[in-house]
Amino acid sequence: MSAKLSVLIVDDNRTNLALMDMLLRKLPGCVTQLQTDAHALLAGIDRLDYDIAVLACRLPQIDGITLASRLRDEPRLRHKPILLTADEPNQGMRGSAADAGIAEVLGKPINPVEFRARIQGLAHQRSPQADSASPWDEPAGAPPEVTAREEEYLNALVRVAGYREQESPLHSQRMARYCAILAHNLGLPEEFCRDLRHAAPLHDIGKARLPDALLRKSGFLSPEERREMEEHTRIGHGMLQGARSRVFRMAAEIALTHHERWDGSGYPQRLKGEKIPLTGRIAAVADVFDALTSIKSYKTSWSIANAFTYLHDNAGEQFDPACVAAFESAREEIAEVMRAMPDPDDGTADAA
Amino acid sequence: MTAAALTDADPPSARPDVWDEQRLASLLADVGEAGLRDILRLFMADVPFLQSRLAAAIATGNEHEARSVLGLALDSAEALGLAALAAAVRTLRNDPLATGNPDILAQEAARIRFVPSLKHAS
Repeated sequence: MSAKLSVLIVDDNRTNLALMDMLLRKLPGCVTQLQTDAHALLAGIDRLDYDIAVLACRLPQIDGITLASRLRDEPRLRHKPILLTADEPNQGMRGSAADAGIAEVLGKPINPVEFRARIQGLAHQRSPQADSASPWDEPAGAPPEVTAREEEYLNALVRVAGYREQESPLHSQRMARYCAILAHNLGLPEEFCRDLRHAAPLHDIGKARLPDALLRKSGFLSPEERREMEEHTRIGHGMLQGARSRVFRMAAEIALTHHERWDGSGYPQRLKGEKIPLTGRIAAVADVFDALTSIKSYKTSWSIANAFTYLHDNAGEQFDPACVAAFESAREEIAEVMRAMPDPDDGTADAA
Repeated sequence: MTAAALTDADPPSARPDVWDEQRLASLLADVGEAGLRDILRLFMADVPFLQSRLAAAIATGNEHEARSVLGLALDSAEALGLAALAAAVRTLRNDPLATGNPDILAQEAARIRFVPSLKHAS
């Protein structure tokens, strides 16, 4: 195949096809094959070739999971990774998809950043010999000096945000490392993990616009104060949105969504399940874990074991179960971050 | 509403509930204003067909077909961040064979007159 990465997309909705096509064409060397008719696709299966298939679950004549099975019946295509896009995928559907050999299931509407990250991840699986300079990692776009300057801006913003916060000065940095470790364990591309590590420290930047009296209050918040505090998500999003920079866009998404809960009871938008962007789901786990294991004005630090138990017990309610599982599998790395970046006199040195 | 109504001109007015601002900002950043406009044109060109398919389904009492059409409309509306249209279609799905549904679909689609720039979205 002459193209570096060929992606087949099957969806009967032309809007989805056009959107996914545009998103993937931004990846260097990526070409797409678009198909709305599953039967026509199967009729030409002898000539069909691709590196990754993206199938809509809901198709008019044959559902995406059945189509995946049919594609994998063809020996040439058996090992080609398949991503399924589905409306509100549940555990049953995920199980059926896994049985059909589908590598990934992504909820609709697709999140552009997550979609590209998943495709990049599958591209690496398909081509394990590809190194970190793989052409489909993400368009390089900016020269290195611009990226370095962007990092300087980000670091300055994190410091500015930190002056107003009542969190430990190391909270944002630890939380960002946890995010990157978690994303890595989810199998996301290194580029995504690196962006996440840079974007995550800005998750609470919206607090910079909240009044001192509210930020420094040590007792319980009244309902009105709580509502005001919750506005930091929208404020932070407003500060960061609209940037061309991939990292700033990711930071805006995290700022808005890191207090959403998997069961839909979070804020500010009460998003549920995979309607919450992946970055927000990752940040929620990392943020809460660090809050639990740090000293606050109203609590002592929890042990690492108790904090992991809390995450485990709240998987599927407060947190994305997949994110919690990925975090739990990195226990040693998490403990290492805690040891390397302890708050002054916070007792985390013996918490692991 | 036709594709010709989608112009580069600044909007005379913006009804903020038409768009999901977060989704809009994300799409504008990822595919650009021109790209988003192209996809929107594609969807708007499909709307009359969706409308006639829905009307035919209602006329023949074919609930499965009506749900299928509304599913496509919702799928597109959510993908494009058309919040008001998505909300309307969700409501239509409660009674997919109601005779007024094709008109409601068309009315909601007619509100989508332009792709707001970021300054309009924020």
